[in-house]
Amino acid sequence: MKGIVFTEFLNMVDVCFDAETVETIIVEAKLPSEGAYTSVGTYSHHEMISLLTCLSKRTGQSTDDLMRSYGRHMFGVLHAQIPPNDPVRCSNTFNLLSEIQSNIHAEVLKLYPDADLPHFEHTRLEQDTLLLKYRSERGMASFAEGLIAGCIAHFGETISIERTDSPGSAGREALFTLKRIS
Amino acid sequence: MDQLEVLRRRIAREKRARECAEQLLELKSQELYRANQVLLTAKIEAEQASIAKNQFIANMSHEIRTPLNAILGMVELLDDDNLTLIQKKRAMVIREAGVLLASTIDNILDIGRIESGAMSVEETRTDVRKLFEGIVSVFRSSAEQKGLSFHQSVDPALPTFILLDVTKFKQIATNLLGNAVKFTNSGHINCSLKYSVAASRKEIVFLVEDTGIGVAEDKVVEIFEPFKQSDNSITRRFGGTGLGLSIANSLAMLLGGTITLSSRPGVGSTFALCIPVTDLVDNLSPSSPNQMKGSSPFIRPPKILAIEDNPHNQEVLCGVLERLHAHAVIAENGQAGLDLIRTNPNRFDIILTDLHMPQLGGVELAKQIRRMGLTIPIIALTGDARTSTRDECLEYGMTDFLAKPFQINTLRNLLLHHLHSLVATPDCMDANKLPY
Repeated sequence: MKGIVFTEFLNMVDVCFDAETVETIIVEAKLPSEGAYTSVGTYSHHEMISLLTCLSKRTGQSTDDLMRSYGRHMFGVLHAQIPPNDPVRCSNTFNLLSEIQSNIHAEVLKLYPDADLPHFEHTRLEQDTLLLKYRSERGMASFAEGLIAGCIAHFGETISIERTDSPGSAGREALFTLKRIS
Repeated sequence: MDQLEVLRRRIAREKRARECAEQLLELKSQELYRANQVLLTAKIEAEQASIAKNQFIANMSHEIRTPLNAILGMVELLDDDNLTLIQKKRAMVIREAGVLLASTIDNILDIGRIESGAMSVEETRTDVRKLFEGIVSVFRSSAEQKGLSFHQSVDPALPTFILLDVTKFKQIATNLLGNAVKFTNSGHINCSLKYSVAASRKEIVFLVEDTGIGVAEDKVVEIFEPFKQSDNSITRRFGGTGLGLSIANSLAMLLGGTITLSSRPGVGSTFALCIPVTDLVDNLSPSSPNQMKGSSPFIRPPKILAIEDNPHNQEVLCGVLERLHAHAVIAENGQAGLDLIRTNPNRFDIILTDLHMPQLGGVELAKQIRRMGLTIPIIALTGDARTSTRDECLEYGMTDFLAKPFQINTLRNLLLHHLHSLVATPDCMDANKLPY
C-alpha cells in the first residue's frame, strides 16, 4: 500500500482527534515501520488494519465508520493529484468514478508499477444509475464507500449510495448502486 | 503521554521517515541512472541501425542504378540506330520499364531525405512554358494510347522565365499526371498551368483534372501519407509503392506551396499544385536542349577522360560521348585516370568520373588532382544519388555531379555548361543557364 495512504491517515487522525492519539495508536499497533511513513514509500496494508483497529478501540467508533470517514478525507487528497488539464478533474461523479479503472489507475501504475490497486468495474445502467463493483483482497469496501461519498460531496451532487456486500467477503467485494436524485 | 513526550515521539518518527525517504530517493536515483544508461545504449543502437539502414539503401540504390544506367544508356543509343518499327517498340518498353524502376528508387531515397530534413530548394531561371510542354508531352502520348482525350493549356499571363526548383516541380507534376493517366480508364485528362497574382504573392498553379476512379472523401487526407493508397485493392489493381503523392506533397511544402484535391469516387479528381514563384523579366532565348544530332556544338571535339570501372557503363559512356562529338579516353579506375593525368596534365578538357571504384575512388581522385594545382572541371557520374554524396564531391573539389541513370541530353548540357570556351555558338549558352 502506498505511503500516501498512511501519511494522510495520520494527518486525518491528527486533525480529527489529536496528536497524542496519533502517537498512541502507533505505539499500540506495534508497527514494523514504527509509523515512520513517507508518502512515496510502500508499506504492508496490515499496518493500516492495525492502526484502524487501535483507533477504533481508542475512539469507540467502528473500523467501518473510521474507514468511511477516512475515504471521504482521502478523496480530496487524491482529487488534488489529478493533473489540472485532465478533463476528469472537472467532470461529475459518474464520469470520474467511471474513469478510475481505465484512466486513473492506469496513470498511477505508470508512476508506481509496484502499486497493488483495488479493482473497480463500472456499469452505466441508465442515465441516472451507475453500478460500481469493488474488489480487493484488503477488504476495504468501507474506505471505497467513503471515497464515493467524498466524490459526490466534491461535485455537490445529490446521489444515493446503496452498498451490497458479497456474502462472506468481509469487505473484499461489494457492489455500489449510485442513483442520481433529481 | 504528556505533550512533550508526544512532540518528542513525533520528531523522532519524522526523522526516521526522512531517513527512509532519503534512502528511497537514493535508490530511485540509482534506478533512474541505470534506466538512463539502458536508454542511452538503446538510442545509440537505434541510431547505428538507422545509419546502417541508410547506408544499405544508398548501397542498394548504387548497385541498382549502375546496371540501370547501362540499360537506359544503351536503349537511348539504340534509338538512333536503324531499328525496325517493332524493334523500336521493344526498345521503348525497356526504356519505360527502366525509367519506372529509376523513379521507384528515387522515391525510396527521397522519403529518407525528406524524413531527415536533408532536402533543400535549388531555384534556377526556368522557361516555364518549355518545362510544362516537356512534362506534358510524355503523358499526352500515354493518355492517348489509353484512348483518353488530353487537353492542355497555358495561361497567357505567365511570364516566360521564373525562378523555380525545376527538379522538384517536375517530380511533383510527373507524379500528378502519372496518377491521372494511371487511374483513368475512360474520358479525359485536362492539364493546365495558370498564373495567379494576389497582393504581393505570385503563384503558378499546375492543375490536373481527370475522369478517373476518384478518391472517397474520408481517404483524401490518407493518400498524402507515405505508403498509403486509398485502399489496398488499388495496389493490387494498379501497382505502385504508395510513396508518390506523399513525396509530392512534402516537396510542394518544401517549395512553400500546397497540393489540394477535390474528388468524387467514380467521377474523377482535380489536383491543384500551387507554388509561389518569382518571375524574371528576361528576353534571353531559352536553351536548345535537343540538338544532339547533326553538327557538333563544339569548335573542336572536347577531350574527355571518362573514368568508370563497370564495363557496361564504359560502353555506354563511349557511345554517348561519341554521339556528343567528343573524344573520350576511358580509364577503368581512379588510379588509372590519375596516371593518365600525371603523364600529361593538360591532355584533357574535362573529367567524368564514377565514385565507387577499386584502387582509387572518385572523391580521392579529385582531391589529388586539386593538390596538383589543376583546375580542370571534374564531374561525378555516380549511382550514389544522395545529397550528402553530392555535397562531399563538391567540397573536395569536384565541379559538378550527375546521378545515374542519366539522359544523354543532360550530360550534353553539362558539357556545354562547363566547356563553354569550346562552344561554337555561345549565344545558345549563357552564364546563368544550368543544364536542364
